[in-house]
Amino acid sequence: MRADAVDLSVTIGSLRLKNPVMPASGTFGYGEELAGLVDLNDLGAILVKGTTLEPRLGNPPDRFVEIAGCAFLMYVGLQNVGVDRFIEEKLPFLRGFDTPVVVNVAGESVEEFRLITEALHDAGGVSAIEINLACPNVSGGGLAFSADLRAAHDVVRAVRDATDLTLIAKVTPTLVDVRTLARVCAEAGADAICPIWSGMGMAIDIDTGLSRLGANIRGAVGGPGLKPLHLRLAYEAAQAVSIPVVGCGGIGGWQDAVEYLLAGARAVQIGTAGLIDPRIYRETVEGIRSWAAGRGVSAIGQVVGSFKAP
Amino acid sequence: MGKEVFQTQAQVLANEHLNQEHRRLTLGAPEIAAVIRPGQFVNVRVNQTNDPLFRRPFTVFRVVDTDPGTRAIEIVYRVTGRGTRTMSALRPGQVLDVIGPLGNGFRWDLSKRVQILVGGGCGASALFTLGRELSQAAITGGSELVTILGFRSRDAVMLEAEFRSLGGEVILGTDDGSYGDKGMAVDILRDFIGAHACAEDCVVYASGPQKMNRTLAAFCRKQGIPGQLAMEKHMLCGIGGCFTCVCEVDKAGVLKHRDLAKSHIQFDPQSEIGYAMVCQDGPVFDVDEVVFE
Repeated sequence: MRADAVDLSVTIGSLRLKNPVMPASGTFGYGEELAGLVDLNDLGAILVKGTTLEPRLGNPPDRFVEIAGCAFLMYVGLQNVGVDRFIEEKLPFLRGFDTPVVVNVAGESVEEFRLITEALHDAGGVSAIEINLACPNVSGGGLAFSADLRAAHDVVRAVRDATDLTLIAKVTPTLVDVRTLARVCAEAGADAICPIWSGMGMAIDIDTGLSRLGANIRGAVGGPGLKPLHLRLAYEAAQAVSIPVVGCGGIGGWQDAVEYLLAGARAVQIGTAGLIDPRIYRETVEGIRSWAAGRGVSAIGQVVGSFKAP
Repeated sequence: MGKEVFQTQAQVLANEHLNQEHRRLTLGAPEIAAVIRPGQFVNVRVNQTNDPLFRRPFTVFRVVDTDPGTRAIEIVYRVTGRGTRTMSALRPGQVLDVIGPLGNGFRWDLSKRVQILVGGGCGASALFTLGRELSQAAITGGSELVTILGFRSRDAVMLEAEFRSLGGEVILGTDDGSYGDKGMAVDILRDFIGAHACAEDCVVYASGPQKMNRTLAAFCRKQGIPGQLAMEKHMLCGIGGCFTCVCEVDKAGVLKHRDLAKSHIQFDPQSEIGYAMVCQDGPVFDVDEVVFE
């Protein structure tokens, strides 16, 4: 089968993506920064930075440290220009591409999630909302929304009520089982689930005795070594709910992306690897295409979840 | 952005010792060489494995024309960690993935008569192409170029001949006095400005280790001397995508030099401290912008 005959499009909610590959929020700025190196039209979707109601300062330096042996810690603290400036200054550029724009929305309360969503909905040019349930729930004692099923439900429901845009619930099943969390989000109206483990790590400089992350001490652990963990999360989420799963975590090439598709993910997000090599998005799309063609797969949707469980 | 940036497969043309711990890597990168400006940097993937995981950023020492007719960029680096150790083993013919040019370079202010470069250690290499511009301006415009280079000791001295070739006064110093003047680069700067009474009519461009940058910024601020410095920071993407390579900046200082409406930098309302991205807002900052711990 010819590679260019493979249909790579996938559907998530009401959104049709030309291919299943997108960057992960927080690794792709506002899109514009990368546009000199990545053709944004090649992407299945453009994921922009976590966006809050008010602009956010972010954490002090140092915000990341590379750990020998291919991991890193990262703690940016959602530095962003806020939803109003996003709509005014960043969104117009993104409207110029034939690629859906997905905004990662980060609130500290149900009300904030609703207000940000309404603003984005009204702005036009945003195709989907990624609900960032890793945010601390300030009124709920600062624990992540994902750690509290009731809070997770309330956020998703409030966002659902505020918009008919496609909703991806980005959940952090670090404390709660991913299957339960996925079901709760689906029931509350999410169109897709993207599970991302967000365990915090630390690193100490043994020469100085100081934290290698400065005042932050902790940072979210990331890197290619976490792929097996995330692949399992995607698989379990896909087993638990009928809405699409977006796989994310440790994808370093098209082979990893195919693995996620087989496990049940309908689309994938690339984070770390895109920071290292901006060509990865296109290479992943082309790799999936060739792989599918080599197996006579005419539409990529056919392989989603085709993992042969024993 | 609107700025030209390239991702290119650059062939290693040379990788030579400058002294015991410093090396110079020459990379065939004609597209980058054609547009890079003084103080800008490139982000280098030192191999194709996951160790080291991320690229390593380097300011470019200079652009050279090579024998096979390729325009090349030269990077001066100190072998200090996993990334630079990997680089030290590179041989001519190998190919590296390089992204650049990145960041905002130096903006030279020729309204001041005395144009002073202050380089510390390996960081001095970031000043050379600026020195070329300033040397040209000195010939045509009547300004004066002064280069102050500080090194730890005699065996760490490098690039002396190159900086001397720019003309103007070149003052070398070592921390232990084993070569040139004894003292840190900023001590030499202080003495020079004192001896020539030129505080009112000079501008400083600096690149060196964090400690030197901090001392230099404090000195310039106190004396009211305008100056810019190139910050060094570990980076991930190097292009503004991840918001990790930040340094602390002061609102009053930033407002003097930048249009806040076009910046990602937010400021704490009480402390008026914000976080600027070294890759995108820098790596060159004005001396009154950066807050050093």
